[in-house]
Amino acid sequence: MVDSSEDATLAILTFWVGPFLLGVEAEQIAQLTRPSGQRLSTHISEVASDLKVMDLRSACGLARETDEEQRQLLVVDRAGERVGYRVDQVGELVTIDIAMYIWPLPPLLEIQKRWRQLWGVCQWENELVLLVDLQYQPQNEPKEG
Amino acid sequence: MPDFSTGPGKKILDQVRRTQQDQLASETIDFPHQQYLSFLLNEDWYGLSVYHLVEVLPPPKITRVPSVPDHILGVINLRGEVLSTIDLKKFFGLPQGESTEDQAIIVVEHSGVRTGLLVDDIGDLVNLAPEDLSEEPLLAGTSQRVFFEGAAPWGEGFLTVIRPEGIFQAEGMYSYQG
Repeated sequence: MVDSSEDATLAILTFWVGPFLLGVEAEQIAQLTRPSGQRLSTHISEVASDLKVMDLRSACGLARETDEEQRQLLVVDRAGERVGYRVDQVGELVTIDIAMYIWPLPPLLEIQKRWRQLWGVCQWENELVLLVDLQYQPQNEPKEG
Repeated sequence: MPDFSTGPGKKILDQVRRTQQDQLASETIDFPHQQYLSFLLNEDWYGLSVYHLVEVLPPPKITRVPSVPDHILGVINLRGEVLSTIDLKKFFGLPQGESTEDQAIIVVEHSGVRTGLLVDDIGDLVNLAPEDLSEEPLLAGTSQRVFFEGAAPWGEGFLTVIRPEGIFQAEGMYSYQG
C-alpha cells in the first residue's frame, strides 16, 4: 500500500519463478498457500471450483515444474474474478522506498508483447526484483490448471 | 576485472569527454575525423562512435528478465537507472567464447534510452575519417548491414564500426521509434 507521507513506501511480496526473482504489491494478494502443513490461508483444493489458475512458469517461458506439490499459489482478486498464480517459491515481504528504489523497465518490445504484467524493477538489498501487476488482465490470456 | 576508476578505462573516458566537448564546441568547424572507441568481440576489433558513448563499466551483476530474446542478458542498475544489457556476440550471431576478466559493459545512448553492450575487451580510441570506412562491412551479411557503418584497415586487420541505432531499431528490440 502506498503511504501518503513523504517517505512513501510500497510493500512487496517477492517470489521465485525458475531463476527469476519477481515481486508483487502485497496489497494485491488475497490469499497465499504454503506447501503442505504450512498453509496460511486456503488450500488450492478448497477453492479450485471458482478459481482460475495461471502458471507463471509459462509466462516466463519456462517448462512446467514436475513437482507441483511443492509449488505455491498467489490468489488475487482481478476485477471480481479470483485468479491464482502458481509460483515456485514465495520469498519475503519487503518494504521499498518508492522514490529511491523503484524504476520503470527499459522499453523492451518483447516484454510488452509477451508479458504486459511486468511493469518495473525495484532494488532490494543486492537484488533487482522484477515487479508484476497480477491484477492486470492481458488480452487473450490462456486458461490453465 | 579491469579497474575503470584508475586504469586505462578512466584515461580513455577522460579523453572521450574532452573529445565530446571539442565536437560540441566545433559545430561550425570542419571536423574531418570522428573518434571511435575500439572493442573486442572474440578475436575481432569493432568500433563505436564516441557520440553514442556514455561510459564503460566492469560487468555488474545482471538480473535476468523473462520473455526476452537470448541476446538480451537482463537489466542492470546504473546509479538508479535500470538499463537493459545486450550480449553483442549473441546479437551478431558470433561464437560464444568463455568469459574473461577483460569483459566490459559499454553504456550507449540512443533516442534517450541507455543500453549496456557486453564486449570482450576495451581498446583504444581511434580516429577515422569518413573516407577510411569501406561501404561494405566485412562481417555483415545482407541482413546485418544495417548494424554496421563500415570497416577500416586497422593494425594488422580491420576495425568494423557498428551502428547502435541499427541495433536498437532491430526487430523485437525496443518499442520506441528511434
